[in-house]
Amino acid sequence: MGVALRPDALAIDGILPRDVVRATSEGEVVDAIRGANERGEAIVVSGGATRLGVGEPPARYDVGLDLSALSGIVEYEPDDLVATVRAGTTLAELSGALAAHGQRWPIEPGLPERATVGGTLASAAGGPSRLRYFHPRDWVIGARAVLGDGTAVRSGGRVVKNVTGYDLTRFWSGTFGTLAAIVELTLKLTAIPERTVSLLAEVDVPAAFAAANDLHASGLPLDALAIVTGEAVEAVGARGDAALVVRLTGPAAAVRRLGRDVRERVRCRDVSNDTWDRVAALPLESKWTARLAWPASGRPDIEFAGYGAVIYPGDSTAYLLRSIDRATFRSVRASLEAAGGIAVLERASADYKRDAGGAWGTPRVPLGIARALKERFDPRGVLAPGRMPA
Amino acid sequence: MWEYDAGFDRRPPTAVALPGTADEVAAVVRAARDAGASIVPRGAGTGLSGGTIACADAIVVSTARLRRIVSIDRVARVAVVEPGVPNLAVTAAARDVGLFFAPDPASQRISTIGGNVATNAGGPHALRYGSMTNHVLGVELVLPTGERVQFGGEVADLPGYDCVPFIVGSEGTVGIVTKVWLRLLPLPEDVRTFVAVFADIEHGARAASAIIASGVVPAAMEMLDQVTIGALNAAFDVHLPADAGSLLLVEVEGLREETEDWTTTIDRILRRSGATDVRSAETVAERELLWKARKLGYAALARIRPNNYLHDAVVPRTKVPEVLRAVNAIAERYGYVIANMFHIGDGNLHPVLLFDARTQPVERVMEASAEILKIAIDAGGALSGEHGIGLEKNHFMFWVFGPEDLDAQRRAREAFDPQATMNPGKIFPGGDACADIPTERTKRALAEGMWV
Repeated sequence: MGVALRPDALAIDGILPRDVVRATSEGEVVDAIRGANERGEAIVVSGGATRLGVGEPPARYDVGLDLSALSGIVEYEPDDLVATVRAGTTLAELSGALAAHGQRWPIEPGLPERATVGGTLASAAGGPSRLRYFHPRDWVIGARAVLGDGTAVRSGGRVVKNVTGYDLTRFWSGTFGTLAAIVELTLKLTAIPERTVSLLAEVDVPAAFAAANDLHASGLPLDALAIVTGEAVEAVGARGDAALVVRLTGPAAAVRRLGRDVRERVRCRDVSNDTWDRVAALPLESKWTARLAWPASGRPDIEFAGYGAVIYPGDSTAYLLRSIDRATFRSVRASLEAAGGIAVLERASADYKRDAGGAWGTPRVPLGIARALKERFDPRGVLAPGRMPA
Repeated sequence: MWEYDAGFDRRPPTAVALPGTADEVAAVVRAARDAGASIVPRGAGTGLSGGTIACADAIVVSTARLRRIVSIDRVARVAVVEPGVPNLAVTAAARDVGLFFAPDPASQRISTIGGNVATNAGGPHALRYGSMTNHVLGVELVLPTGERVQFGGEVADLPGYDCVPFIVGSEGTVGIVTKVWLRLLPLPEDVRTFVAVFADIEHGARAASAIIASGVVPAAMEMLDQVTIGALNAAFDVHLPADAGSLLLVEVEGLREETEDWTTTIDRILRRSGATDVRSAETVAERELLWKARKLGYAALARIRPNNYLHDAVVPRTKVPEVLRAVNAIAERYGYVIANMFHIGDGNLHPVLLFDARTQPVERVMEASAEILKIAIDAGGALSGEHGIGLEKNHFMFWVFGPEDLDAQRRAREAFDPQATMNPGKIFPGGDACADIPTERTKRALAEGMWV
């Protein structure tokens, strides 16, 4: 069961919806979206509301369409390594059902008690699992979604390999509920590894990057790799300027061997695997969060020492956790964009977003195509108008 | 050669353009637009679903001359290549820096990255690593307007709608790819390849399902039936057990400790599932020969009958044994020799019906194949795993999708190509753009007639 949300939990940048609809079926989602079309209202779709503020504040926000009660497993065939779930199913509920069969959906968006499967795909959530399992969209194979005009559609299927028509399932990824409300997903699963071990090294920032680069370059199959800096170090139960955290998984003998290989490169100690829940949660709990990403050859010239951040060096991504002044942010963004990177404000006030030049920075999609997609899937502009570049 | 691919249909294009740069591709597209002509993009022409047949008096635009590997970045693990680069050339270039490119369609020596993008190509190792969609990070695309634009790239989750997973598998219907950003992976430390011998297909199929169900997903797992084994032994020096009813070709990759562990688990399941023997490839040469035989195996089948026809429907993996039984029963009922050599690990069937087009009508083979598709769909499967829909299966699309589902796909297409000038007549059912292709009427009648 999803955690019941109070209406103010659906506030976006301080704006509350006039009305909240808590849908429990696809039919109710269809009704809500059709109703919004008839009344000319704007709807913002939410799951666990862990990433509800990502994007520009919606131009209008009449109805909060809460899908957290649209939850539960629809069909699960462990022997196929495939499960179909309702979009509002939380990652924790999903893990519980799959663990009974020694399986999991290997995506780690953070705050699993709240984060939903649908929201994870719709918001292209990042996290520690990106290193080995890449993108949430790589682990979805089918979907049901309700388009902006209220049409319910199906895409993909229940098979792990498929080129039967266009792949709308993966296309919904990162559309933040602006083209369709995802109501059901079919997931590709994997077995829970026999052994999982987490290691942590308390080092200074340059040493953390040096060790991370060395580990990445080794080609060793690490399961996760993060650097935590500044005040965030304490939040993961460590001390000092920076903590390098490594996760190793696999058959017991392989994990032992990987542990030896890692310790040869950097001095570290064993820590609880729960450390990763903290790492993944930090960007979702911070009052202000910016996601930076850059081409591997061009790490930004940022002094992380003494500054709170979660960095995924293997993915060339960092989440800054402490607000910087708007002018500084603009210059960080400008230098990143000039080098092919990005700086996205994931959590910031509407004022900050505006003064910093917008939540997204320079759109990197041809706007003519973005507008054409929006017009065709959401012709009356009811789904979170203005949230995404279009 | 511009009028056909590896399927049956052929139709001469109005003209063929062979641009050498992305700018030239854009110029050709603008010229075609100004002349009111539609366009069919083409790679190496190894497609199996008629995706490159020029319907509606289209111009064929080949990307075969755009064959530069722009960069291989060891640290970022990204290759940037032009669409005419053959698949295998990417891995060959990446190997020097300890990396590889995972999608490995059987056609990989010839087929191009552009074509692989268009069909969301897979190959045996898609079992562990996924298909093209899981390895394409970005594309540069010439839109039907002639505009050159980029979607995605090395950096993930750029601001804006990420159209990359939609463009991959769109079969040339939304633009022409002129550059691709590909994910590379570290070469595994250890690879183990083995062949399990079974008395019949049934036992082999059940063993494959049991391996997947155990959660140990091999890098690749292929089934070869008795007809295939005979053809491969005749064509290659592989010495596969000629009396086997079926073989599973299994490969695991990873750290030595991982491959050791997985091999033990898989070996136990294979023997428990009735494998009469499990033989390991002892050397790299032996392994490469096995894969060469597998990948060139379809050509070897020509020794049995000159022509073949295959679909690549996919079914849930637990359904493979029962679907295979039904598929073989169909072939028997129609009196065709059938060869099954396919990606059993991900349920991706490749039932090859062998025939002689000089004496046996193609229409009848198509009918038998449509029955096979029907069995797969009824089992909860999909029409194609890696070959694409193209012209071959477009009329069967309504077996899988309702009108609203297809309309949603059309909306996405229209955002890119409102005039439907890119590769007309493909993927979507019911259109008339390819109506003068001789087999078109047969396929359409089968799709409509068999749907109850």
